Parts: sequence; C-alpha cells; structure tokens
Amino acid sequence: MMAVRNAGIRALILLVLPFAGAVVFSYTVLEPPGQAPLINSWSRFVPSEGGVQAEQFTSLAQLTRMSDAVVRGSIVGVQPGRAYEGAPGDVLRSVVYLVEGEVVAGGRMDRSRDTALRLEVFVGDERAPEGVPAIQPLDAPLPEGEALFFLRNKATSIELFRQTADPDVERDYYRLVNTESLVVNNLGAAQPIGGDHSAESRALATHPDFERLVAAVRQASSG
Amino acid sequence: MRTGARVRDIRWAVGAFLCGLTLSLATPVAGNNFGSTASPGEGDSPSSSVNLDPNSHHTIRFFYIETLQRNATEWGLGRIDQSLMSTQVLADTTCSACTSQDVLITDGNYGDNGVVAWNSCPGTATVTGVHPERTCYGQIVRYNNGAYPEYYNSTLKRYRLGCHELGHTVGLRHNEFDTAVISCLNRYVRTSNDFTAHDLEHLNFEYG
Repeated sequence: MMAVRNAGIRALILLVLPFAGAVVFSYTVLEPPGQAPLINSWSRFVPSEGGVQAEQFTSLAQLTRMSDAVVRGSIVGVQPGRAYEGAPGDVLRSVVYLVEGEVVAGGRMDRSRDTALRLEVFVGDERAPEGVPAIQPLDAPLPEGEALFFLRNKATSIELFRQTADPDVERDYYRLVNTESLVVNNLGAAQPIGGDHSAESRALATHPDFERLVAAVRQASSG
Repeated sequence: MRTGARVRDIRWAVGAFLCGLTLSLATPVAGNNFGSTASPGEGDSPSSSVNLDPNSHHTIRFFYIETLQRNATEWGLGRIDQSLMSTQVLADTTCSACTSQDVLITDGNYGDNGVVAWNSCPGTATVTGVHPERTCYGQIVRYNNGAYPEYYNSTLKRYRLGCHELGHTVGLRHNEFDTAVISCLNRYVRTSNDFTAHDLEHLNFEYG
C-alpha cells in the first residue's frame, strides 16, 4: 500500500514540478497571436520591432490630440513614391497609398489639391541581389476594408523636427504618426495593426469595438 | 525507513524542479527581450529587424558615416562584454550591398518615415535558422540623423541609439513589459546608454 502511494507521489512529482521550474523563468512571448487574412493585408504598414519611433504615445486620447488628422477610410489606390538616398548609393523607396474617407478628428489636412489623401509608406530595403529596389506593394492586392488612420502631415513634421525639406512639397504627403497608429475594422472589432506586442498597440486596444473606438476618438478630439 | 523515503522524494522533487528550470533558461527565446522578430502577420520575414548573429564574433563595418554616429556605434559595440562575444570594427567600405561583415552601419537623411534609427536584414543578407532564432549575416543599421536631427544633438542621445541598435543586431528586443528596467533596449531609449545584466545574460546564453 505504501509502495503504491510512494509511486503515485513520484509520478506527480515528475509530471508537475518540471513545469513549475519552467514557469519560474518563463516570460510573455511577444509575437502577436495568429491574425486573420484581412489583418495580414494591412501588415505591410507596420515594420517589425527594431526601430526607434520619432513620435510615441501612451493613450488613445494623446494620439488623437497629436494627430493632424484621424481618418476613417479605405485604401483606394497605390502609386510609386519617392526615393531617399541616405548615404551615397543607399536608396530607400516609398509607395503612396491613396486613402479616402471621413475625417473623424483633427482636420488639419489640406485636401485642396487632391480628392484622396496621400499616405506615404516606406518599402524598406528588401533589395534584390543585384541591388535593385523591389517595390512589391505596387503589385500586391490593396488592403481590404476600412481602418482608422492617425496621420501626421509631413509639413507639420518639418516644424516638429526642424527638417530641411520643402513644406510646399511635403504638404501633399502624410505618414502614420507612429508606425503602429492604425486600427483595422476587423468584422466590427477594432484590431490594432501592431498586434499586442507593443505599448502603443495596447493603448489602442482599450476599445475592442470599432464603432466605439471611433466614438472615443471623436470625444477625445472635442474634449 | 519512512524518513529515507521522504529524503528520496525530496531529491526527486528538487531534481525535477531544477530540470524544468534548466530547460527554461537554456531556451533564450523564452526570455522577455531576446530572439528575432517577425513582421506582424508575415511569419518568418527576412525583413524583420531583430536578428541573431550566426556566430559569436560580431563584426561591423562603416559605410559613409559621420564621425558622431561612428563614435556612438563604437560605444554600443563596446557595451558587449568581450568575454561573452568578441567584437571587431572592420575597415570602412563603399559597397552597401557587400556582406563581408555581420552588420553594416550607415547614416544620412532617409526622409520623414517616422523612424529615428533602425536595423534590418535586407534581401542581400544570408539568413539561417527559423524565427525566433533566425540569424542574419549582413544586417544594416541606419541612423536617420538627417531627418531627425534633434535625436542626435547630444552625445548621450547618440550613445543611447548606438547601444539600442547594436543590441538589435545580436538578438536583443525591446524591453516592452518591464518599464522598471533601465536599459538602452527600452523602447523609447530615453533613460540609458547601456545594456543591463539581464540583457548580457541573454548574450551569454546564446553566444558565451
């Protein structure tokens, strides 16, 4: 009887305690959970971790107030963007997505020159072996559905960061305030494009319903 | 007799606990800020920005870089404990696509893309392993000092960025969830220009 009980205790020890030991030094895995195809089509807007953002936010209200415009809209087209030669011969390229929709907050956007807002997104440096930049987003299907875009006008950036670019040229372009400041309407749910792996995305995940998120932005803007 | 059995049980328990603990610690990707990153939704993307070095000898090479950013990078490289991972600065190059170094470092005006500095694994690099233990030989660190000069207007700011980006080239991620940790790997790089003991522990497990 005693032998049976001891065997039972040892079996329990073997099953449970290794997990207990592992739990002591286990941490939260940072990768976002599995995402639907709809979200995947938007993921090109978000470079993965590894960069230092020029603008940061810790709450939805703060991001709303920072933004030159918050637009609820869709991508209706894509065009070749511009080339930026940082170091000699090291050229990064951008593409321009055309965004149409409703200005929910901010409204400091100049839409006098175009009907669609021009959102500039950098392609990155996924160069072909011969060094020719590959602009794959021009060939890829456009992201479907609608999203909430928190935008910075590039003329404003010139003032904020004392840049030397020409404001008359840059006024036509927008970027996301922060590369994670975009929330997709995923079948009624508000899905921050950065997943849940950053402080920014968690700040945007406080309103899981897309309509309520839009309402909260309106409220933050008027408050 | 009964005491002897209890002693054996305790030994079993301690052994099993330590076994689990050892397995956990021996898996660096389980740490809260170590391991390669994938672009959200893209799985094992080579364009991801945090990568492991495929070897324990970290070599960097400068490509048309200003002295201020060069010094900041050398500061960051110096934060890596030589007993964990040897480091070397190779002669400057004028070939941005050549990958005869672990990391190419450069600077300039890359436009108002919202990012002050970043690390990447370009298409020209050699990628091995599987995320989150993917390695990249031929990474590129870019300082966007031309577009965001205010982030580069003091030695301390530059050194923070140098430490931060060099950390990404050896697999260190942002310290997202523990804001109490003072590390140059903190997401906003506001507080420190050095790695923590915890950061270096990760390097020890991976490369030491």
